[in-house]
Formats: sequence, C-alpha cells, structure tokens
Amino acid sequence: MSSCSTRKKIKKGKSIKQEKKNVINIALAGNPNVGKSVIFNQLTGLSQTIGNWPGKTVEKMEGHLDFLNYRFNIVDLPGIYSLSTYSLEEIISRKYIVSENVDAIINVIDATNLERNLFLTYQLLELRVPVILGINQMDILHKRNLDIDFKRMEEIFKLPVVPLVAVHGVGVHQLLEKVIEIHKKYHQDVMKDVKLKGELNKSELINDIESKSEDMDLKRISIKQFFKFPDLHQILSFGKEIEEKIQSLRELIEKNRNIIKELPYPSRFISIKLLENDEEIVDFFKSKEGLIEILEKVEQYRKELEDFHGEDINTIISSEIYNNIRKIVDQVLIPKSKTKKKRNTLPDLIDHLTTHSILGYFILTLVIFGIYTFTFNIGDFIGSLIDDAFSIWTNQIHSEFGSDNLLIEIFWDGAMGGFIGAISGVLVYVAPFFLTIEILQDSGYLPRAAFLMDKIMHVMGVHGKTIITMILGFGCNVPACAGCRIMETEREKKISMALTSLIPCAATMTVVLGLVGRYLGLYWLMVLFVINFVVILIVGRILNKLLPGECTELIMEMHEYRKPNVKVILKQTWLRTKEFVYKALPIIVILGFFLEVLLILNALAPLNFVLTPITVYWLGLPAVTGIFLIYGILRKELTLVLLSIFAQNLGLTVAQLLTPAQMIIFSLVTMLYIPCLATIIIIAKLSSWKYALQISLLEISLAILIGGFLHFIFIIFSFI
Amino acid sequence: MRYLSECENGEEVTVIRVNAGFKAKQRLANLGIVPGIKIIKKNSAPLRGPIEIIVKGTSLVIGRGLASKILVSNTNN
Repeated sequence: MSSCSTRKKIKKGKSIKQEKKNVINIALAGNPNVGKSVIFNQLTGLSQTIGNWPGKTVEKMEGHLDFLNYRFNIVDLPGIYSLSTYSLEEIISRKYIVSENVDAIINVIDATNLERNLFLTYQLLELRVPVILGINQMDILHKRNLDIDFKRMEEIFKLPVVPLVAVHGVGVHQLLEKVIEIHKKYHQDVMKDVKLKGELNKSELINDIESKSEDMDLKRISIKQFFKFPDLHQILSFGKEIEEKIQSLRELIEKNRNIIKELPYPSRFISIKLLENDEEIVDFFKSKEGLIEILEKVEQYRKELEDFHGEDINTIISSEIYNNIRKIVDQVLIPKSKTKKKRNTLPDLIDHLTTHSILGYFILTLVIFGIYTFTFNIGDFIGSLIDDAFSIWTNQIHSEFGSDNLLIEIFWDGAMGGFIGAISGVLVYVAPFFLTIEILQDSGYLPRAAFLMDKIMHVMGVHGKTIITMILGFGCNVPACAGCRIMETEREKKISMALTSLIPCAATMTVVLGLVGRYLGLYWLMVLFVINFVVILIVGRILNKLLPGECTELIMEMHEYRKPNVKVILKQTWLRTKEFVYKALPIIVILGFFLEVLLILNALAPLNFVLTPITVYWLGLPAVTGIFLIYGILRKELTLVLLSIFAQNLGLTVAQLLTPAQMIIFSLVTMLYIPCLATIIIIAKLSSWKYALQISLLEISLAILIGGFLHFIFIIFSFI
Repeated sequence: MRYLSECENGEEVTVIRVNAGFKAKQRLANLGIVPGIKIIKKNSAPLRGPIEIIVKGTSLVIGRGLASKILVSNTNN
C-alpha cells in the first residue's frame, strides 16, 4: 500500500516536472500609452483574461502563448511611471515583479520619449530581475529623423534590447526569443553547478531545488534564482555623497537580513527607498523591533543630503536619475539624416480643436451625444429583435402548457425570461458601448475631456479624470462605474462611482424621451436634465464633505492623437464583453430571477400598498407605479414598458393615464431613484456592499425629496 | 520669478522650485519636473482650469492648484 502510493507520488512528481520544464512567466512593464497592451494582444491573442489583483481594484490582465516549445504565461502590469507608492498600481507592480511568479520582465519603452520611459527602467534595474528592453514605436522615431544605436544601448545596459513596431508586430516575438536565451543560459548555469559539485546529476539537483522550493512553499523554480544580474553600477550610481549613505544603509540591512527577509527587495533598492521615505518600506521597518536604529540613521542621512543639496530627497534622487539617463540618451539617440521631413499636422489640428476653449466643449457635447445614439440604436435594435423572438416562444409555450401553469411561470417566464432580459436589456447595450469606449481610449480623446472639465469636477471633490467615466455613463452605467478604477485613490473611486451612477444612461433615456420628450417636448426635457445635473452636483458636494481626505490634483499625460488600431479595439471589446458575460451577467440573472418569481407569485402586490404613502400621497403618482419602479431596479426602461402595457390593458394611452405633472415626476424619479441592479453590483465589487447600499439609499432619498418637492410646486401652480 | 500658473501660453520657462506636498512633489519629480528643467507652457483650460505643459517632449496636464505651486523663471537663451 505504502509502496504503491510512493510510486504514484514519483510519477506525479515527474509529470509535474515535465510540465514545469518549459514554463516561463513574464510580466510586461512600462509607462501608460507605450503600446504595452498592443504587444500583450499580439502575444496572447484571445487567451487573455481580465481579473483583479487579490483584494484590489486594479485590473490584472493575463494571457498565455506557446512558442518554440515553451509555454509563456504573460501578465500585463498596469501602466506606471515609477516604482514608488504614489498609486496602488505602482505598489502592486513592484511586489509582483520581485515575487516568485515572475521569471523575466519585458520593459516596453516608447522610443519617442526615451528619457521619461527610462526612469521606470532605472527603477526596474534596481530590483535586479532579468529585464529585456523593448523599444517600441521605432517607426514614429524614424519619421522624426531619429534613430537609436541598439548596439551601444546593449553595451550600456548589458541586457537585451529589442527594436519594436508593435502595431505591425515587428520584433514582438524576438522579445520572447531573448527570454528563452536567458532561460537556456540558466539551465547551463545549473549544469555548471552540477559539474562543480560532481556528486549530483542534473535531475537530482533539480529535484533537490524543487523539494527546497516546496519547503519554502514555492511551486516552481524561478530563473531569477540563477540569474546573474550584470554589474550596472556605472549607469546606476548616484553622486558620491548619496552612494556613501546607500552603502552604509546596505551594510546595516544585510546585518539585519533575518528580520527583513519578508521584504523581498534587494538591499540597495530598500536603502534608496528608505531615503526617499517610501511608505511601504518605512512602515515595514517601523513594524519590526530592532530596526529603529536603521530608521534613525536614515533620518539623519536624509537630513544631511537635503541640507547639502538644498532640495528635498525625492527631488535630489529623481534629478540624479534623470542626469544619468540624459547621458545615456545622448549616446544612443542619433539623428538619422539631415533632411527634415514634414511633420503630420492632422493630430495637432485635432488636438487644438478638442482642447479649444469654446469648440472643445461643443465637441465634448457631440461625443456624449454620439456615444448615446450609437449605444442606444444598436442596443435597441438587437434587443427588440431578441425580445420579439422570446415573446413568440413564450406564446407558443403558453399555448402548449397553459399560461397559468406555475412551473412554466417560474422556469420559463422567470428564469428564462430573466436570462433573455439580461441579454436583451443589458448585454446588447454593453457590447456596442465597449466598442465606443475603446475607440475613444485608443485614439486619445478622453484625456482632452478631462483637461476641459477638471475645474468643474473639482467642485465635486474629484479631478478631471472622473468626467471620463461620466461620459461613458451616458452609454451604460455598468461598465462606466467599473471604469472608475482608473482613479488614483479610494476616495476618488467612491465619489466617481456615485456621480457616474447618476448619469442618465441609454435605458433611462428611453423612459425620459418616451414620456416627457414625446408628450411634453424639449422644454421639460431640459428642465429634467438640469435637475439631474444639479443632483449630481449636490451628491458630489455631499460626498466631498463626508468622505475623509482631500481632492488630489490632476497630473496626467496627454499623448498625441493616433489612428485607432482596429484589431486591438475589436479584441479589447470582445474581451471586456466576455468578462461582463462571465462575471456580472450571472448575478444579474440570478437576482433578476428571484425578483421575477416574487412578482409572479404576486408577493410584491402588498408593496404597492406599502409604497402608497410615497407614490400616491407624496409624489402624486398612481398606486400601481410602485411595482413598476421596483421592476425598474432590474432594468430602468421597464418602468415605462410596464406602464405602457398597463395602460394598454385598460384601453388607454400613457397620456390618458398620467397627467403631464405625473409624467415629469415619474421620469424624474426613474432618472434618480437608484442605480440599476447591475450597477449596484459593480459598485459593490469595486468598493463594498455597504457603500453600494449607502449610495442607493442616498439616491432614493434624493429622488423622493425632489420628486415630492416638484409635486407640491405643481399643486401650488395649479391653484394659481 | 513667478508661478507656472501665471505664464503665458507658448512661453518656455525653467523650473526653480516645487512647493507641493510630499506625494505630488514626488510624482512631479518622477515625471521629470525638477528644479533646472526647462518646460513649455502649451495651453490652459478655460475657467481657470488645468495647465498643459511640455516636459521632455511630451504633454503633461497638471491641475491649476498644483501649477500655482511650481515656481519658474524666464529661460535665458
């Protein structure tokens, strides 16, 4: 029995080893907008998945690729400028890079912006992990009559440097070949090690390492363990007085390595970050006993340096790094020819128009209108086709089994109806909407909107970037709220989600246009929009007061306009839609099913009665609207759809059922009273259920308050 | 000497000092906005909105509040 299980163990161990043999894990790192996601797309195709970093609201993009007998697992790290603790993205990235999950880093660098991009490279080099430099957008650099001396660059960095034109796939697979070279070299090193030791053969050594790795609760051996990082002190060194202090700190850290071993960074990196007063690392040192001495030393050194240079430490260190980079750039960036080519002026013209102080706002309005019409028309067209097909099936099934069969009602009308409803009412809007976002994002328009609106957004306690998610909200609140993860701090994420959830989406618009727009005209439509935006302003002000912290200032890169890449856009749209189908749709269907069942069983009928004080007396609406509003939580346009059906059954039109005042109040309440179910779920996922419920309650109270206020104004005016 | 927020569009100036808080200052330094660096004020948004500058050949937008904490002087050509 026992021998049998041992044999099994060995077999299992072997097969795992074979699988492991050729697996290489790489991470893509780089500044935002350097074409990292294009490279990621080229490499991973449709194998990508979007997830979240554990417990974090930052997106994790993963994918894999089989290439030359190797399985590459690739993670696309968020776009960052540095490895400090400025944003969650930076902290996540640096922790991941030094973790055992990564064998090599591909650092994507924008050739047209070498200096700023190399700043991140410098930080990566301090982590002493295998790095391959991919210099992207070489075609654009050539157009500017410049070139890069790659041979010189490899000599300087002592690491592989690969020229790329990612949009055309040039050089992309060469990156992987370089990774394989490093991987092979590591195997050779293992063999050398074996020969030196003499007493072990290779497989035993690997077994040995693996059992050690298992002991350390590691699942695999990383190339990093064998990677001999090149000696780069010539390019990485700071001025003498800083270097001396780093050296002294390193010695102290090495002495206390056993206390600091949970901090997986190289001692030099820790020393620099200690001097920079890095939150994560300083907090770690504070949490451990026996490290106070080092912190005191750090304080002293920092003060000495700041006094010496007359600047704060971050400025000193950043300046020194930029000086070092400058020297490298001077050597590697070379003019190509003397003839000057004409610069393409179209992007500049578009930039000028879209940031113009008057035209800019006009274009912004057009863009919002464009998103809305596109999303709505496509969604409405496909959605109604699906709904029509479903109602034909429903009629057939009802005529076959009888329409008052409880099982049929629950499983067909409830479950199937909920599923179809989620597709025809949500998915068909979400998919075309993703397409419009991707186009706007890829072309570079969205930062321009943030630029124009920053001032106004500050009133609500957030900076200009929130306008991006709010613009997206006009299409559909669900993905727009998910987009709030681009905000830098938790506080801004929370406020942005609340504001975005109040934007009238395509579905809400159908109600407002179908009632007020159709029967009462443009004037009242404008009144409703003004009220909606005043409410957004009020909610912003309230949250700005309530949530602790201050509004951060906008610091944002505004890259040049470029022609959107069709392939990337389609892939991203597909990926986002897929993520939505897998993650959000099931919850919508399940909760929708429960609500549907409650309605079928008429369990909610008493609700109309319970809601009467609010709906009838306070808001002045017919009692039956209570249940329509409950339905509306599922899909906002249902409030009007059900109202129309109800009117039809009575042989009336909606205009005969509701007075103009009631139409206005009903539309207003629909606009404001609660984010739809899917939006609430997204808000809960990005923050917490508590916050999602708080937002819902706030919006319900505001809707009731303002609706009632309007009702009484109408009463007063009717007397006059 | 004056603050970046007071510069005219198209002016090239040299950064003298950044008086912002720790985080914002670190961010700006990481993006290359350190004393001695030359920047061009390209544009500013209406209603006293944020400011667009060109640093090391790329456009950067910074909030007006932050721009009024960046001390600059005329660049000597």
